[in-house]
Amino acid sequence: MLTLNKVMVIISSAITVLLIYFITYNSAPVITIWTQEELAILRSLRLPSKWKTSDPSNNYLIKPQAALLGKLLFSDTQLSRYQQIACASCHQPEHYFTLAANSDISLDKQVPTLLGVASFNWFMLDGSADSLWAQALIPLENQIEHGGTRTQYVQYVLNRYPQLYQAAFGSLPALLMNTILPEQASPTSQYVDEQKNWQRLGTQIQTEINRVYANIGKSLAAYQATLWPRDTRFDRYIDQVTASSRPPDISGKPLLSADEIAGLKLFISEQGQCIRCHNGALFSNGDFHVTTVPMPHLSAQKGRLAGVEYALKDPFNCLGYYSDSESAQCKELIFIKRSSSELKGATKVPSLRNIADTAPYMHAGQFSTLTEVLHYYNRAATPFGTHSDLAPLKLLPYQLNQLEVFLLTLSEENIDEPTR
Amino acid sequence: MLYKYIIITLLVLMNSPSMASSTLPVIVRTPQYNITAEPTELPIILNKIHSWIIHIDDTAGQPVQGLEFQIKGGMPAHQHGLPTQPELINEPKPGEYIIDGVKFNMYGTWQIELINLNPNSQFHYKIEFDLDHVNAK
Repeated sequence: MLTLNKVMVIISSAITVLLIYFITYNSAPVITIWTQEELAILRSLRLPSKWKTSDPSNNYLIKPQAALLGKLLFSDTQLSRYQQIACASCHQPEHYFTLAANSDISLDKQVPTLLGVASFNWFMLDGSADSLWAQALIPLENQIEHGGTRTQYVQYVLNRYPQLYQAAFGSLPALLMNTILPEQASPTSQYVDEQKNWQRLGTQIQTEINRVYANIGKSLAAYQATLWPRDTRFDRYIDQVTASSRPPDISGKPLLSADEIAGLKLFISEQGQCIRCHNGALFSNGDFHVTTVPMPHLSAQKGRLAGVEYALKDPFNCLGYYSDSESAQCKELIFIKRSSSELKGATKVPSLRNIADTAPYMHAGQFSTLTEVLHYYNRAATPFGTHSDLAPLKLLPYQLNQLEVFLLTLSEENIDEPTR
Repeated sequence: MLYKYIIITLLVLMNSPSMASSTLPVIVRTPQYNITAEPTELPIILNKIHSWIIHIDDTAGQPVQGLEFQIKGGMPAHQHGLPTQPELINEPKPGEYIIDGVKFNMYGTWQIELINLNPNSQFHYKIEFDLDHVNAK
């Protein structure tokens, strides 16, 4: 009897060990055959050979002189109120235009990559800007970023870059060139005396300052519209499986490992759910969804619900006086969705390109590793009475590992030349 | 072996999210109306605002004109609505309605609901279809 018990214990233990091994380390079979539907999905994720950008509200988006001025301003610390920071201080070119985790600068929210940003319709984590140029103006007057005022920026640019400004936008504004302006003045300044300075300027000068200020935003947008992600091993794998009707094990060794392919398969599957929001070549639909991630940033607490209202009131939006578009072209604003409970706490879906190299994650850096992110999505607990766009993935540990190794394939091998 | 096929078949059926079709135009036949709906341009571009044309005839085939309705919709399986607020903008021909401001931000089964602005009206119809990699890119 004792012997039988021992045998039973040994068998049970062996089964348990095998189960644990299967759940934890199970390696999926090599998947080299894709259905036509899956191949179509894969093609939709591949970086295009040429990007198409358009912004009817910015006539200068693809103008080289505007892009050159924008490039100089992007890295010019002298532009900021205290001459200490530039756009590039946080959008670091050597770090996919995000903020390196070990940087001297710390922010309470994640800095999104700018690679491919020009292809989105909405900007900021709450979607408070409807164009890249309107977005570029927000940090300039944010007291914890550039911290200055539009009057300061306009004077600096016209004095520091007059030829380049003329080349990009035409003649210098005579009214401003012949008027002594206060050093700082803005309707949104953190200082009351600078707001009063603005009021004293009068409508005509205010309008001229706003026009040049908008052009500064448009030049920064033109520069950012030159920044695109580069092909990764994932893109080359797509070429490999879509270029030939033959499976990759015949045309050559697959560029992704079995686990990476299994992760990709999960990524595009209904079970994985990832591709719902992380679709297209940037792995982002550019829209806003609720993840109910803990400790949301202040601007994420209301999220898109408040961002919509900000964008509608923004004098620099598509329908505003400084926009270059016809009103009918501003469809994103005209058909904007407002006052829906679905918008509360909704934040912009980030691109997953180079995601493995741009930790931490979520809009306020709530998670340090991709493993933590995937475990969060796997549970996806929704606070009672709250709308959430997540449903628990309920994947097994080995599947989460496969998803994670797939995400690593979205990184560029080197970033010497981030633009093209 | 038979068990294997039965299990696979059951799993496939369980995972089928919807019976909606990706075929366009979408045709909805009701006791009162025949509704035909399709985008004004194909393929649909994911994440891009576009317009739809809706033909509404009565069951005798006569166009139903002068309707005024609002647009709602979304993805029932995901419990979220449309990402934009589309509007009825025009009736260029009797019974032919143009709605603009439609955007889809993910693949899957979508509904566009036409709801009469008159609260006493029973006019409330759902146009359901699958957005996939055949009809959209």
